Amino acid sequence: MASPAMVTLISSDDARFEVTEAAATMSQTIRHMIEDGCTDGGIPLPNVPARTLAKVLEYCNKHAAATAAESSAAGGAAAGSDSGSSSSADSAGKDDGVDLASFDKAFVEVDTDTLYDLLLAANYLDVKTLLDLCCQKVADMIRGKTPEQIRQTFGIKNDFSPEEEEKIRKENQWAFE
Amino acid sequence: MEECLDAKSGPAATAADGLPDDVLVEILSRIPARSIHRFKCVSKPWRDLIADPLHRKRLPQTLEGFFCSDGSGFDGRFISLPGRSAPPVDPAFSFLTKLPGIENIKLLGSCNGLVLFEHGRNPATAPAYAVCNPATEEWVAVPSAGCCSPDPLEERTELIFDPAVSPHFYLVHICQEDFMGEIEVRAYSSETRVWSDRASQQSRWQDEGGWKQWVNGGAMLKPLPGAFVNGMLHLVAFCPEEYLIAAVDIKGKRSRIVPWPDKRSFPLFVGQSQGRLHCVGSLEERERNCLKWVGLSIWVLEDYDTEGWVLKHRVSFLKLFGQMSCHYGYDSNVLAIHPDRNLIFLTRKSNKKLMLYDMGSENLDAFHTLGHNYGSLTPYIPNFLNLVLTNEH
Repeated sequence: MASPAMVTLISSDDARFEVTEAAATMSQTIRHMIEDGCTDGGIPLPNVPARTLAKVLEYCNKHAAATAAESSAAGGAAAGSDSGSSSSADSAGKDDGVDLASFDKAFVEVDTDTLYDLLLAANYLDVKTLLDLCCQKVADMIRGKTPEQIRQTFGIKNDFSPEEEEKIRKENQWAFE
Repeated sequence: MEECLDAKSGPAATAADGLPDDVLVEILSRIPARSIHRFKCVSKPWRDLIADPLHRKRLPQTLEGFFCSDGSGFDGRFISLPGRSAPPVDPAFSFLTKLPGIENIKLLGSCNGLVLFEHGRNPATAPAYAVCNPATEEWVAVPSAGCCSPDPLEERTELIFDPAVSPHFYLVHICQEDFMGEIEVRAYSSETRVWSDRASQQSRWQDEGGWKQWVNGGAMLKPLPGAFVNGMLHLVAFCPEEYLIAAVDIKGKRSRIVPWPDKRSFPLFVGQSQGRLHCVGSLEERERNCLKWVGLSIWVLEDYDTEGWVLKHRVSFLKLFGQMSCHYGYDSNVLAIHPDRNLIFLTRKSNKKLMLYDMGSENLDAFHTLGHNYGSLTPYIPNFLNLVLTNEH
């Protein structure tokens, strides 16, 4: 089997990352850049610092490898290989599913700043499943919070006057009960 | 959005410090309506983001009102909750009712934005179904469950849909032919597009403790709508000497029995609010044959796994109707519980009032008078997302 195609990604702080094309193209943004032939000398990602890019690539590597294992397992079964090897491929596929879910769960067990950076990077790089994962994690974190806790979490200034805040609070009183 | 520019956040004019609004909406689309309303108080940009009509459709919705049918069939009226304006959708469902081949249409129920109709019922044939989303005017045909005697004691079809868990909907058809007889339960999934095979489910239930008791005879289903909580459909049944709540998961793989919380109270309603199972019963307290208190008790299942029921509220008929009389137990009907608020909806037969009672403030508001010939009222929570309901031909 030929060695997989590799691409080089360059973070905003000029760190270079060598990754498989399969992992890199989980990002629709990078996929489009590769399709447009903008890969000579590496793909610059001016919005993503090395620390965050490393984390995103950890996610992409894991998921790209799982997808590859799954499709080769499916391919093996479809090709009519003997029953012994196809059942082992099946069980490998199943393990990956469980494995991937626990990987995802652990992956977003990070501090708020890191999660925030991941959210921005997943949005910029357009990695749909990572964006969904991070959005769900943030949603789970904030669903029970008070407005004041939300301001702290997102670093937001309260720009309501006390009268305005009182009024809007009253209109939505039921949501505070 | 000019307030944002003044904020300390710098160049990106977004509601949450550099986070694109689209991402914030994506996050907010995953939290309950109650939290969203609370978060309007965070800042002006948050308030405006949540109020934006384009965003609002992507955010979780809450109860808007009730579709109303008269006694003889579906007549396309909508009763909005107090403070709400026009109905959010075409209440006549003209995109569906005007189609050829749709006759004798009847609204059976709704769940998280989808609405279930049956049509074509006549003495010789079982009805077929249509499941639609009135907000997007998508609909899909579902074949008849085709397994019923002409005159069952109790028959109903429940729609189950939870977009947070699955893009597919389920129908559960429940039929009891004879008094205390066998109860037949079959499920349809929009994913497989087939009704489950009755025989295979039956054998599974026989293996499971709780269901065997009542599914195979000896119980009676109460004609109350089911409640969908924690992926399970909850039905009230009367087994010899006691009421209980029987729950089955939508695929018919799991089942359990939840005890009715208060043995002394008579079941009037089960429903879902704020993610938890609620039930409402009527209760009479007597002292030496003398009526001391009569009213409603409202319970919430705080801990689903340990069956931890908590008494949430009690309200007397004296408070609700101005008189202490058992008569009101027959005259009134618990219609619904608000999915996000501590409100219950009641109808009164004698004066045709539709009322809402706030368990927090203990206020009662008779906000609508129903017509003389009103039949069923179906609560409706819109869902503006495309649910990919398609008919395969």
